[in-house]
Order: sequence, then C-alpha cells, then structure tokens
Amino acid sequence: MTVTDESIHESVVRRASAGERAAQRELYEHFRDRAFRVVRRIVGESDADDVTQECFLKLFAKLHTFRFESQFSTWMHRLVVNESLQHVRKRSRRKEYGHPMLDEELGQVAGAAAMENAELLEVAMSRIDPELRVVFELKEVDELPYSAIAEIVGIPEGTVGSRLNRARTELRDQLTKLGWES
Amino acid sequence: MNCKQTRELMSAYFDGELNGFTGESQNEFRGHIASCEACAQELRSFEQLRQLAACQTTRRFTPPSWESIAARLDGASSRTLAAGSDSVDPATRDSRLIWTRRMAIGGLITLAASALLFFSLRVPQHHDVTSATQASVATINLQPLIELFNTDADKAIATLASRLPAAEVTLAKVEAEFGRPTFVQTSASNNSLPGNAQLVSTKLLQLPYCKCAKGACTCGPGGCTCVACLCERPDGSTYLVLELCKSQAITFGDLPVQLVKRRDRNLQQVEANGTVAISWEQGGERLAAIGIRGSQEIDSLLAKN
Repeated sequence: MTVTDESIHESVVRRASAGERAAQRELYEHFRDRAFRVVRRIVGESDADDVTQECFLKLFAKLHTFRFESQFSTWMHRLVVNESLQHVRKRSRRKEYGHPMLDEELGQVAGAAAMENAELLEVAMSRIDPELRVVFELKEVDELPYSAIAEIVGIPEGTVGSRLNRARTELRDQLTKLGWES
Repeated sequence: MNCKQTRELMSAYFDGELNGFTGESQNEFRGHIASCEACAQELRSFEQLRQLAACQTTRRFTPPSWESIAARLDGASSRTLAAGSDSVDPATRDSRLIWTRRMAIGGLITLAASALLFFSLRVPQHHDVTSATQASVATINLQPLIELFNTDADKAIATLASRLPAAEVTLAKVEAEFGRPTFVQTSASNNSLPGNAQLVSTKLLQLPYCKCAKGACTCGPGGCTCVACLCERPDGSTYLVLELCKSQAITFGDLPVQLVKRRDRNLQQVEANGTVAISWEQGGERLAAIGIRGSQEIDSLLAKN
C-alpha cells in the first residue's frame, strides 16, 4: 500500500491527539515553517515566536475536534490565521501616519537605493491590513488555490479575487512610496 | 468590457481562476487588456509583485524550537494534574489536594507580605536604599503606558498614576517639589517645544523613596519625585516627557530595547503599537519621551538637554 502524505498525517494526527509527544513533535516539525511564515507575516517579527507557540498549543488542545473531513493542512492553516488575526486585533491599531521615525529613515535609505527588494516588500507588507497580507501570502508564497484560501480565511471564494486585487494595489502603492521602481 | 469590470477580474485572471467564466468572457478580458495601456500596466505590476514575493521565499527565518513548545505543553500538563482528574486514584488525589492547599495558603501569606512591603515603601523616605526588593518596587515600568499611548493617552498615563501617587500641579509647585524647572516647562515658556507642541498637563508623581547619593538629590522636602509633562501638537496628537532623578530606574518591561547613539547620547529606544519611546541620561537626570515622532523631534529634545 502506498503511504500518501494524507495517510501519514492521519496516523500522526490520531496519535498526537491522544497526547503522544513524539507524534506531536512530528506534526510540529512538519508544519512549523509554513505556520511561522504565515504568523510572522500577520503579526510581525517581534510577536511571531510567541504567537506561533500559542497557535500550536491551541492546535494540540483542539486536535480532537478535527474530523478528517478536510485536509489537515487547511485546518491547521485556518487555526493559525485566526489566532494571528485575533492577536493583531487585540493589539492597538497603528495610527494612519504609521511609524514616523521609520518613514524618515527608510525614505533616506530608499533614495540611496540601499534597500534590497525583499526588505522593501517586507516593509510594504507591514503597512497594509493584516487580512490583506494573509491572502497575498497564501497565494504568492503558499501558492494555494482560491478555494483553499477561502476555506482558510473563512470568506466566500468569490471574495478572494477582490481581496487580492486590493492587496496587490495597496502593496504597489506602498512600494512606490518607498521608492520602488516598477 | 470596461476598465472597472476588467480590474475586478484582474487577480482572478492573473491567478488562473476564471473558471466560472465562459471562453467569450475571457476573450473580452484579453481584448480589453490588449487595447488599454492602464489595465495592461496594472496586470504587469501584479507580475512584478509576484517576482518580488519570490525573492522573499528565499529568506530563512527561524521558528520556535520544538523544545519551547514541549516546555509549554509540559507546563500546561502540570497545571491540569494539579487541578486533579477523574483518572487519578483517590489517595493520590487527596495528597495532591493537601499539597495544593498548603501551596495556596503559602501563596496567600506571600501575597499579604508583599502588599505590606509595597504599601510601607510608598511612604517617601529621603535616604539611601540598596535592597533588591525595594529597588524592584521603585522601578517605573513604562510598558503598559507605551502599549496604550497610541489609542488612549489619558488611559495610558493613568496606568502610571495608578501605581504612584500623582497630582496635577502648577509650574511653581514643580519647581518647589522637583527642585528645578523641567526642560518641558522651560521650552514651553519659550514656545519651543518639539513638534510645535503646547504643554497641556503637568503631573507630579511621588516616588516610593529616594535612591540618590547623599546630597545629590535636588527634589524638595516631600521626597523624590517624577514630573510627567503631556504636550499636544497642532494636529491633536500628544507626547509625554518624564523627568526624574538619574538614580531612579525605569524599565520598558518585556519590550525589546534598541540601543541607539544619537547626537553623542546613548538612547534606549522601544516601539509598541505604533508608539515610539526613548530614554536617556542628561547630567543628574533621567528623561524619557513617549509618543515622540521623527528624528527632528528627537534631535530637538536632545539639543535642549
């Protein structure tokens, strides 16, 4: 019998749900990079470690509710996104003028063409709504189809396209402000 | 198909998700892109963003280790065991309950003792103190203030006032209690506060005791004090400047602190929830500014001190 990715997950999930540490570790190490990347994208670097830990503690606590009716990775993703967005909502929102000191310093750096593109995108991402960040990340980094993104984020599939439109437009505007030349 | 309709479908087309659309609709979309430079440029920008995102995926970040997760899982398990469960046999459960009760009683006694110590230390005393317990009580933790400042400055300042006796005071009272006019009040009287701000509130906070070397403290007979000045910019935003004796410690709690050199001063800098805070020493004083904006305001603060 061919052991598929899903069947590995199912046996591991069942053992992890029963509290077996080795299985929990296997589950964690399989998903941690993906989860951490999504968490980091939504909550930012300084809170990412803590929120990632919280996500997995919650995941293990709720594992018994997973019914194997959908892909485990989608279920995990959904939990991580919800926890991260909740964390952001609990934090106070930034005022519209953003992080003024950073604005000034980055303005100088971008003018000097000293910032790498990856850093530019990182900063631009931090300036758009977390709910837009997550759809962009799930599409561009995880390369998930709209149906999976809709399930993870909890929105209708038709809304994914319009949300991505907004994410891309706003990112482009932020990048332009940072001196990015398209 | 017009531009509005085309742009609504832009991402779906770009991501190959126009499944629900007929071939005719997809042709209309392509036809519009071919004839409209603005929409074509929009589509090209999506591709450029995709390429930028591809640069991101090569960056490596380190997630938390399994050990950190396991430690928290073990901690959670211990708490569950201490609370007792149906699967635990009665004899074991009873002995755990006895220990839990003893720990609870011990905890209550410790709490009462701490409260007694804290309230006794709130009486200002003008002499040297070196014990670690007293030092920890007297340290001013600015983390709650910084985290709240962006959304509600008044509530944020209240977090400080709730821990230290505080009173709204006049300029004359500050000079009497603090021993000298503060930088904010001097600048306010010259209309030269950073950010073209106006001084809107001055609070005097009573510190539990004086930690200054003998003869070094300039605070009045009431004991060591801290002055908190709230300044409002023309756009309605505010910043807070704290001034206190250098011997009095301030902390930013769990917030990560950056050490920054600016204008030959060593600054501690933190940021939380959109609020930037800095702290530095000048002469015999320690100063902290919360809600400060931009390098210009910082330079203005440092230049005046």
